[in-house]
This record gives sequence, C-alpha cells and structure tokens, in this order.
Amino acid sequence: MLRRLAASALAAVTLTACGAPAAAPSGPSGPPVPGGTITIGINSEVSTLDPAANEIAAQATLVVAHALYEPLFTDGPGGALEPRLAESLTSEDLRTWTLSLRPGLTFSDGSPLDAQAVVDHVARLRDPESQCQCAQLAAEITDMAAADATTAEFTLAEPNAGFPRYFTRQLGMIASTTARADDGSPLGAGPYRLESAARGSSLTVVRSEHYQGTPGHADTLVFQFLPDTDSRYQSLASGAVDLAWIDTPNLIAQARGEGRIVAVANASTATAVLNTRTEPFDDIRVRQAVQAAIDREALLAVVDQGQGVVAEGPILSRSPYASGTRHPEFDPERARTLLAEVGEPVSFAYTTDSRPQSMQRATAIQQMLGDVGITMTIDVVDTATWGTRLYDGDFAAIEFVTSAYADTDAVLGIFAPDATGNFGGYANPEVGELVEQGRGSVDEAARREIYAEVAQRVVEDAPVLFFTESPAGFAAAPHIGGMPDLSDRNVISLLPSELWTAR
Amino acid sequence: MRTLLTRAVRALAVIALLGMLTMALPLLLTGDPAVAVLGVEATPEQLAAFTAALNLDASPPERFAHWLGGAVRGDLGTSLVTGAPVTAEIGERLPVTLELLLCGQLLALAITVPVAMRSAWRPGGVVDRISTVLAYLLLSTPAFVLGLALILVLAVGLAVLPATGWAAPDDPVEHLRHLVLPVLTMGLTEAAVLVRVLRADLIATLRTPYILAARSRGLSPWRLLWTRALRPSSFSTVTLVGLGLGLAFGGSVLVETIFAVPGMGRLAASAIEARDFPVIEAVVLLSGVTVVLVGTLVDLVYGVIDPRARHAAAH
Repeated sequence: MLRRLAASALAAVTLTACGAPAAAPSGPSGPPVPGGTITIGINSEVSTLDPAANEIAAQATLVVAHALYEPLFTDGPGGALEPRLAESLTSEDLRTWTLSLRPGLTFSDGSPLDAQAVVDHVARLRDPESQCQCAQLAAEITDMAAADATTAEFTLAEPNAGFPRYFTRQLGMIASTTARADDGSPLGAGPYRLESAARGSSLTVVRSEHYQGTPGHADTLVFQFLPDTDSRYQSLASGAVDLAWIDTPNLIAQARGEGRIVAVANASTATAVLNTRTEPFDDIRVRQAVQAAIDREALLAVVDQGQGVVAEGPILSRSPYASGTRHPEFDPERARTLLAEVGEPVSFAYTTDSRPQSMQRATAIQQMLGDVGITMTIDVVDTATWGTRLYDGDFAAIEFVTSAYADTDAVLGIFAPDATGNFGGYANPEVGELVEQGRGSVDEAARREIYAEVAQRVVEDAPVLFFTESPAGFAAAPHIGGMPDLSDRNVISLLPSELWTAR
Repeated sequence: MRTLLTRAVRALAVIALLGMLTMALPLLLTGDPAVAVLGVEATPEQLAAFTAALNLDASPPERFAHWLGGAVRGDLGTSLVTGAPVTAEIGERLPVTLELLLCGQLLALAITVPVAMRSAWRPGGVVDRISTVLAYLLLSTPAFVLGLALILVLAVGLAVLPATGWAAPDDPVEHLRHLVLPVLTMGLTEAAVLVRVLRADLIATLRTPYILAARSRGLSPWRLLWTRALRPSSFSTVTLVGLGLGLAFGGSVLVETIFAVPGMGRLAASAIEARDFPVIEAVVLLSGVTVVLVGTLVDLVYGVIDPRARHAAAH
C-alpha cells in the first residue's frame, strides 16, 4: 500500500516538475527600480522586536531582523558566512577572537555603533536574566572588551571554530542598549527602521537614512502577520502581499507551477529523537531496527512530494563540512533480524504535533514499522506540550523538525552526553570528546574529518533518526526583483534591502 | 426586584466559580509555559527564573484572589510573551472583535428575517426550497472552508477585496474593504442556523388561530408577518443571537486566523499556543462574564417580547 502511495506521489511530482518552469528565481528584467512599498506575509506575529525576545530569530521572521538589525554576518551559499556590519571575525587559536567592524556604523538615530556597543549588546543577551535563546552560546564567552572603536576581542572558555556563526542570529543583531524606538524596542543599525507597529497585524519599516551599507531599494516594507498557511498563499495570489512565507510542500509546488518566484532552501531537517534512557530504545538493536525499517525515499516522496532531499545524518548535504555520511540502508530484512535478536515484541509511542506533514510522516512510519512487526502508536499533542515533552525527555520517540542542523559546529554539540539539547539522553562519551576535539581543531581539514567521524557514529548508534532535509522559504509575485537563489543555502537568509518592485 | 437580585447573585456565583476554574488552568493544561515562551534551546537556569516569576505554585483560590485584587484596580497582569499589560493587549483587540461580531450578527439578521419570512409564508415553495438547500450547504461548510472559498472568489478571482489583513479605521474605505470578507463569513454561517430556526417558529406561529383571524380581516402578508407573527416567533432566534454574541466575545478563532484579523480570537489562540496564562485567564474570564451578562440580558428581552415571561418570572 505504502509502496503504491509512494509510487503515485512520485508520478505526481514528476508530472508537476515537467510542467513547471525552471526552479531558479527569475523576476522582472532590467536594473532594480528604487522606491515603492513591498508587503511581506510572514507566518507568525512579531510582538517584540528586541533580538533578546527571540521572535525575529525564527526562519520566517529572520527577514524582519535583516531589515532592522542587520546581523554582523549572514548565511551565504554553501554555509559560507557573508560579512554585513562586520568586516571579519578571526582567530589564531579559535579561543581568542578579534572582531573588526565596518568603520562609521551608526544606529538608526545616528548614534555610533562601535565595538563597545557590540560588547554591551552581547553582555545584555548573556545576562542570566535575559530570555535570549542564545544565552547558552553567549555563556561560552568568558571575557570581552573593545580594543578600539571598530575592534572587539572575545575570549572563549574552550576553542570553538563555530563561534562566528553565533553572530548570524541574536548575538549578531546588534541592538542599542541606550536608544529605543517609539514602541520601546532597542534601535538597530539595519537598512530599515521601524515606522509603526499595528499590534497583532503588521509592522511597517522605512529606509533608514543612517544605514552605512548599500541602501535598500524599496522605500517601505510592510510585514503582515498571516497565521493561516492557505490564506497567506491566497493573499499572494490576490496581490494583497508581494511575498509570502511558504513551508508546505504542496504550496511550494503550486507556487512553482503558477510561475511565482520561489526562493526556498532545504533549511528544516525532519528528525525523530529516540529516548535512549528507557525501554525500548535503551537497546541499540531496537534503534537500529527502527532506522533500517524506515524508507526515507518514500517519506520524501509522500510527505515532501519529492521536494528536498533525504537526510543522511547530522551534517546537512550543503554544509561546508559535508563529507558523505554513510547512513544505513533501508533494509526491512535487517530490521527483522535485529528484532529477532532482541526476542521481545517492540511497541512504543511516537509523539508529534498536529501539522499535516507531521501526521503524514507519522502515519507512513507507523506502516513501515508495522511491516517489520513493530507496533507504533501516534501521540498527537499541541506545540506547547510537544516542547515540554521534548525538553523534559518525557517520550519514547518524538518528532523534531528543526533548523538547528544548519549550524554544523553548534548542532554536533547536542550529541555530547551532558548537552542541554541532548533530549534523548544519548550517551557515547567518545562522541562528546570528538566534538570538542573537532571544534577546537584549527586545521579545517582535520576538523572536517573529525566531524565526519562524529556523524558516522551518530547514524550508527541511531539516537536520532534522520528523515529529510525539507524546503521552506518565500514565494514572490512576478513583479518582485532581487529574489535570491537559496537552493544552495542552509538558512533562509532573504535580505529585504535587495528586493525591489517593478510596480 | 427580587428576581433581579436573585439573578445577580446567581450570576456572581457563576463568575466566581469560573474564576476558580480559570486559575486552575495552569494545572490542567499540559505544556510548560517557560518552555513554550523560551523555546527548547533555553538553559535550565533561564527556565527556573521564568517559572519563579510566574507564581504558579500558589493554589487556584489564592491566585484568583490575587487576580481579582488586581482586576478591581484595572490590572490584569502582564503578558508572558510580550511583557505588555494584559489590559493593553485586550484594549487593542476587543474593539476589533466587537466590530466584527456586531457586523456579523447584523448581517445574519438582515439575511435571516426576510428569507425566513418568505420561506415560512409558503413552506415547500420555490424560495423555501432554495433557501433550505443553501442553508444546509452553509451549515455543512466549516467557516475555514467558506472563508477560503470567499477569498478565492472575491479576492483572487474577481480581485475586488483584500484577501487578508486589517486596516485601522483612520482609513475608512480600506477599513471597510478589509471588514467585508470576515463579516460575510461570520454572517453567512450564523444566518444558516438562524434561518432554519426562525422559519420553523414562524410556520408554527402562522398556524395559530389569531393569525388566521388577522388574515381573514384582510391584512397583507408582509404586514401580518412583520406586525403579528415575527415577535412571538423570535424567542429561539433571540436566544441564539445572544448566545452567539456571548460566546464569540472570546473572538472567532477560525475567522480571525484565516483573515489575519487582530482580534480577541487571535489573541486567545496565540496565548494558548504559548501558554501565556495571564492572557488566557483574562480572555476566558472576560468571555465568561460576557456570556453571563448577555444571558441575563436575553432573559430581560424575553420580557419585552412577551409580557407573559415577565409574569412567569415574578411568580
């Protein structure tokens, strides 16, 4: 049944692909037109702009951060970092880092954004009182100071090659600790500044006259909060918005088929975390059996409608560290053999939230496991309960769709035995040591090799099941220019200052 | 006077009970607000600090007393997500929902009364059959399907109205344009129910002897319906409208989500997703109080519609 389902889904995908225009974004021809207003529909409400409140650090809302608080760096092609407000962040030993800012930076009220402002910003987010999701990362900094107006020095507790990437998110969204906008949010130094906020409805930003980089093309950007996936897409179709966030496979296919400009990246990794502390997954053979019984190609075809790629492990296919992890093959026979060795019937509950893709994935996995004799029940909970279960380790298996894998250096850390993000309690001390060794390795080639080893151990121990790298991003109306090609990115980094409207 | 007093006491008792139950919500709902707000990347220290500030350890009656103490001073606490006072959050969302609600109910009544009358006058006639089919079609269409269908036709197809979003009343034209689709969705869904109810009641009324007598005196059909039949037939309709108003005070979650209307429904939905208890508590309690108040009001309206109701209550 499942095979048939997969086959027909594949056929459908092939058909759409034949009829669809090239996937690469193409907008209006000619040079960028300055001026005008661009309206962008995002999926959630932004009630607090302050980077410390995390609301502008999600995949869909990062575009707001890029407008108001241009980060020190953004994620470029193939996982490379592109300097924005920063010129460089370098280190000889990966422990002491020197940050060089572009000279003459100012916040949107004209007050200087110097090295001291960066230090003050990082200190505020590192504070134990801060609600920033970056607090744990920031705590790695043991010492920091401004050496001169454009240079800051950071010292870390341990060497960490992944440190610069911290500055693509909250830590890099330098917010003034003194100057505030009308709504009380701290001022940023991005290409746009806040004009007005309609609570629960939209944010309007206008070009900042104090921005030091290449000014944005559009005069005004409006971010509309459109929570419903379907009506958000219809708003794009009707022209009410110029760009809309899309993260469902059917709408991405539809947008392509309807000739819209699509900028999507395989930025979200669908995984399931297995609880290695308790039965049945404390037994590595059960974990490996489940892993061998799941056909990832079929999940990709059924759940993602063939868009995206199969996930081979914790290092994404487009990571700078990609090294070709050898993920165990789909092999129901091997699964049956492993289960026979265990000798007891295996049953467990799979916790997931109620998004359509999650439900589809869970149902497909349930059937695949049923084929080898594993009984899986599906436990659907709301997002808040899901988060608490994950955090508390209160699950047997739990779906975890995340963008965290975009940062290889950081995410491998969650496989260390005592890491906060090690939700399934995976304990392989060697992996922990390897991660630390890799992060501290100045030689990039050596680091790549060590990370490859970590990834290989992880897929073999199977504390986390990797399914697919799935697409998400923005679709734009045909009159929008400057849409980036995100197909080689790990993060949906859309720079709104590069967008322009032909209307 | 005594009845009024009894009613008031009863209403207060209901509200107090509701208050206790609302304050027990944090105990009943699974999902830790600290994790919901701070995310799974949070450190244990951040979670502990957040939880301590919540005062969730106190018992529901204690928390209700504390909440009530604040409420009488106009302080409903602060949102865990935005850090803004809950009164400010509600103050901005309430007018939006009220406007949507009143316009929706008015539209529903404007459709219901003439259609129900025409149908009841000739049950089984062409108008009655068409309206019956349409009403059942609407009744069996969930609001989110109807809403999307209206978007597809009026916003994407004909491109006469904006698909989603909201405009402040400073720009009256844009404001009204944004109001149309959500009001249509609410009004049509509601009208489907009301037409069925009012039609049935009117048919029953039209069979009573005093209507026959009026008819024999040569009263025109419309006058007869308006002046003689409508009032005694409107009990169930008034009840439903009242209930609808009271219940929808918490906002129509579906309609507000589809059309991205920043009303109480969106506020409630996102507060529940984020386990933003101060906001959830305020929304639940305010909706509860409104249901009780509207219920009392509907009782009073019964007395106006039919004086017998007043006497029955007095005895």
